[in-house]
Amino acid sequence: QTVDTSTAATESKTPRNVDIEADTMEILDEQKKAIFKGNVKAKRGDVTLNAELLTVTYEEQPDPKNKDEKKTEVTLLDAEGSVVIVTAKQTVTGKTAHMDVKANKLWVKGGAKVVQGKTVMNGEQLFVDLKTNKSEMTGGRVKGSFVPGQ
Amino acid sequence: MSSRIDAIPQGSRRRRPLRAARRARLAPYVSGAFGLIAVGVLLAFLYQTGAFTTKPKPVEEAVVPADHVTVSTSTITGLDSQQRPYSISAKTAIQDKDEPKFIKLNDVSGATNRKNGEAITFQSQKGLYNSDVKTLDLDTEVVIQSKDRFTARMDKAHVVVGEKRLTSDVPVQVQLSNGTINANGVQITNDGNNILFLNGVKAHFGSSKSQGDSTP
Repeated sequence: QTVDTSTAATESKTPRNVDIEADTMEILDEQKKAIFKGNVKAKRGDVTLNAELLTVTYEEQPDPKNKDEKKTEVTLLDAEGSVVIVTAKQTVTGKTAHMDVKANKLWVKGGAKVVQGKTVMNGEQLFVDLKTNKSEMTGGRVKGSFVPGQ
Repeated sequence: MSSRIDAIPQGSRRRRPLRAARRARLAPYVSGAFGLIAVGVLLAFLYQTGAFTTKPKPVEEAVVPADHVTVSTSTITGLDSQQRPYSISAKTAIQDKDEPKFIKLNDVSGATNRKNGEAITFQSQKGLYNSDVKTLDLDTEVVIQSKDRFTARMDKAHVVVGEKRLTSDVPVQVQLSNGTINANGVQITNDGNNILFLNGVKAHFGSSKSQGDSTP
C-alpha cells in the first residue's frame, strides 16, 4: 500500500534550519552522537517530529571552504517513544523512527499509522524513500480506510 | 763675604725678577683655582653623602591585611589525571591566611588539553581555587573554549581541573561552528568528550539539506 509522501520528500531536499527542544541533550563526541531526551520537539521547515528520545549521529569532515574548520554532517536520526511526525499533509506515528539522512530514507516501526485528511492507514512498518517519493506500509495486516473527496 | 746672589749667574739674575713678577700676577688666579677645586671636592663629597638629593617620600609600608597574602600575576600549574599539563593564571591571587587552601583569583584564565591534544581554555573575572582538592570555582563572565568545537558562556562553573570535569547549574549559551545551544546547566566529563546539557535545552542548527544535515 503506498502513501503520498511528496511533501515530506520536497521538504527534505530544501536547505532548512533545524530547531530541537528537549529536557536534556548530551553530546558524545567520541561516538559522534547527540542524544536529546525528554519531550523532544524537532522542527525543520514544515516537518516536525515529537518523541521521547532522539539520537542524532553525525560525522565530521574537513570543510572544503576552510581547511582548518571541520564540517559536521548528520548521517542518521533515530527517534524512540511516541514518535509523531507531522508534515504539511500527513501525520505519521509509531514507536520508533529511523532516518538515513544521506540516503533520504525513513522507517517508522511499531504500529505505524499514517493519517492524511480522512484517510488512515495502519501497518507494522512504514517505509518512505524521500528521493523517489516511494513509500510502503508493510507488516501484518495493512488496514486502510479511504474517504473519497466530496 | 760674598752674598748668595753673587753665586747666581748674571743672565738668570735678570730673568728672576721677571719670573717673580709673572708669578705674582698669576698667584691670585692659582689660589682662586685651588679654592674652586677645594669647593668642588667639598661639594662632591656632600653630594655623595646624599646631602642634595631630595629625600624620597617614605614608601608607605605595604599594609598587607594580617589575614591575606596577595600575589600579582600568579600561575598555578599541574598535571591532570592523564599526565597532561594544565595551568591557571590570575592577575591577582589572594591567599586566605586562616584557610590557606583557598586562593581568591581575579582575572582568571587557564588552559588544559584533551587526550587528542586539542586545547581547552577557560577564563572568568573571578575564581576561587582550592589547592587541597584542586578545584576551581569560576565566577562572572565565564568562557570555556574547546578549539574547533564550541565556545560556552555562563556565569558560574565548578571545575575539577585534574579531571577536566566542569559542572554548572546556571544558564549556558554555546556557540558551535554551525549552530547554538541554550540550556540551564551543563556537565562536561570524560576528557571533554561527554557534554550534557540540562534543565531544558534549545538547539538551533544552521540551514541544512537532508543530504548532509548539519547538527553538532
